[in-house]
Amino acid sequence: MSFSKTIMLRNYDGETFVVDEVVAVEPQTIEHMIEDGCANTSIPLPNITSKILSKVIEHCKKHVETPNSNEKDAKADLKSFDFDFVKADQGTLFDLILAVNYLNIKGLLDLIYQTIADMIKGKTPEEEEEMRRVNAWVFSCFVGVTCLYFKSKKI
Amino acid sequence: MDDNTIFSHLPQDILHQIFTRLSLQQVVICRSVSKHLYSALSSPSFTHLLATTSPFPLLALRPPHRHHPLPPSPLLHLFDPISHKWLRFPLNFLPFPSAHPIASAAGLLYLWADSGSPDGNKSLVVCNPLALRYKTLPQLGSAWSKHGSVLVDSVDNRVIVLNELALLYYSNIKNMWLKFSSNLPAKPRSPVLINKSIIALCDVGSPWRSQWKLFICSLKSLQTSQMWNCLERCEWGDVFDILKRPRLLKGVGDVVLMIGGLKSSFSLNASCSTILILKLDLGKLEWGEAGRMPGEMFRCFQESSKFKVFGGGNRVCFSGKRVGRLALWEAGEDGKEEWRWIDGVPGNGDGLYRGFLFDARLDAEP
Repeated sequence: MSFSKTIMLRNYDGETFVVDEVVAVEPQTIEHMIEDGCANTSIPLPNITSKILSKVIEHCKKHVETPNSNEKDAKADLKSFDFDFVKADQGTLFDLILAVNYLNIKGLLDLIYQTIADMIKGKTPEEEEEMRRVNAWVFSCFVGVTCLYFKSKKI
Repeated sequence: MDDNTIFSHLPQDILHQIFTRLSLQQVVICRSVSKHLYSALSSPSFTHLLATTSPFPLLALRPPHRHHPLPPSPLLHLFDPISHKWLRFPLNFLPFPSAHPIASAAGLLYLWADSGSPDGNKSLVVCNPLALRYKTLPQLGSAWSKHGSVLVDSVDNRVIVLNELALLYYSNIKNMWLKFSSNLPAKPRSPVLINKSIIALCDVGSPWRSQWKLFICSLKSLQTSQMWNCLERCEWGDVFDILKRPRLLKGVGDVVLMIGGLKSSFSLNASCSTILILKLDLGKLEWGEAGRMPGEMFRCFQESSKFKVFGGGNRVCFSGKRVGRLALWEAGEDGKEEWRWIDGVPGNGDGLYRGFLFDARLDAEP
């Protein structure tokens, strides 16, 4: 058993999370804080809830623990972990994106941005039908739709 | 369509990161969803970033004949070669009774429009049909719109109109056309603007036998009296004699494409065996073959005496009288070429469609 250094993260709910340093420095924000010597007792993360922070730590842990090899199995395992990770409701995704943006975790940020972009692209059948109607409008009467919409909203 | 969505509470930079992962078409649709999204997705920093992450290269059609009456609601018909679909951009945001699209560069569309003056003068209008913005350039005599070739470039939004006798260069700073006399021996055929030079074909032969040569004019030498020079090398041999009615298109980078029917013999009225696309590397001044139309496809063009060619880069379109559809040549990055048909061409022309490349972008500013 290795005695790696640990870091304490104190969040919005007042809870403290003890994390291995190697996991804690995945977020660039925390890495910089440690470098700047602000991490003497615990690192404050006042704008992140416990629910979100534990999810973020879970993701960082998984990615740190998985060996960085080009092995097919390792890559597939990570991919399926990521796939399940973003299967969250809109509210959670929204909170996640703000937290991860603040913490500056590049890999996780890319994953969430792409997930939301894919959500916009792939819609439910009802939304798809609405989009198709809007699609036909937009490209044949782009001016009309935009002007009408804004006129009705009194811009 | 209220504003109470996930998007209305996300900061702009996060919205930008999400939406640059979408195509231009999807971004345009999303902009119509709410006021908040519209302003977030219209900011210059976003539209500029989107132009690099989500290019939208299209093939635009020119209306069949300039003198035919235009339909009441002017449209620009474009083909998306990636999704293989026809699109329409409305042009009724332009306040001109009739406007004919003629060329494009860097997301800007150029059209000839009636300037409304009684002497029949026309103006070139430059616009971004996605951003609904336009600018009118100073008037030109109607002869320029009938016989001049319009060349446009992304560098400084350069606009040049040229014919056999003179060249007009639009000065952005002075907002006027500068006129330069031309020393071309004959009418320039399919001039193209590549880097800082104009290249055109000229027939210096006799009325019964064509002799095509390449002429080049550097933009730096516009003020000299000998601005055009013949571009030739003896190693080129008879490269101009193997093609019937050759024409030029811009290639990728420093390359010009020359396209024409491949003559089956050197006799005067030889028939053609296929359509050939040659490329000239302007750095090394060496010719090579870029593509050749497959036999089954050429059979459809064989009956029509004429065919039109438009496009450039790695996509060239062919139309022929009564062919009914367009043939598309695409060159991949690995050098592999692909030929396919484009059906469902809008409009009731005789089949001889002309057009140009159009890179749709939200950030192009006229």
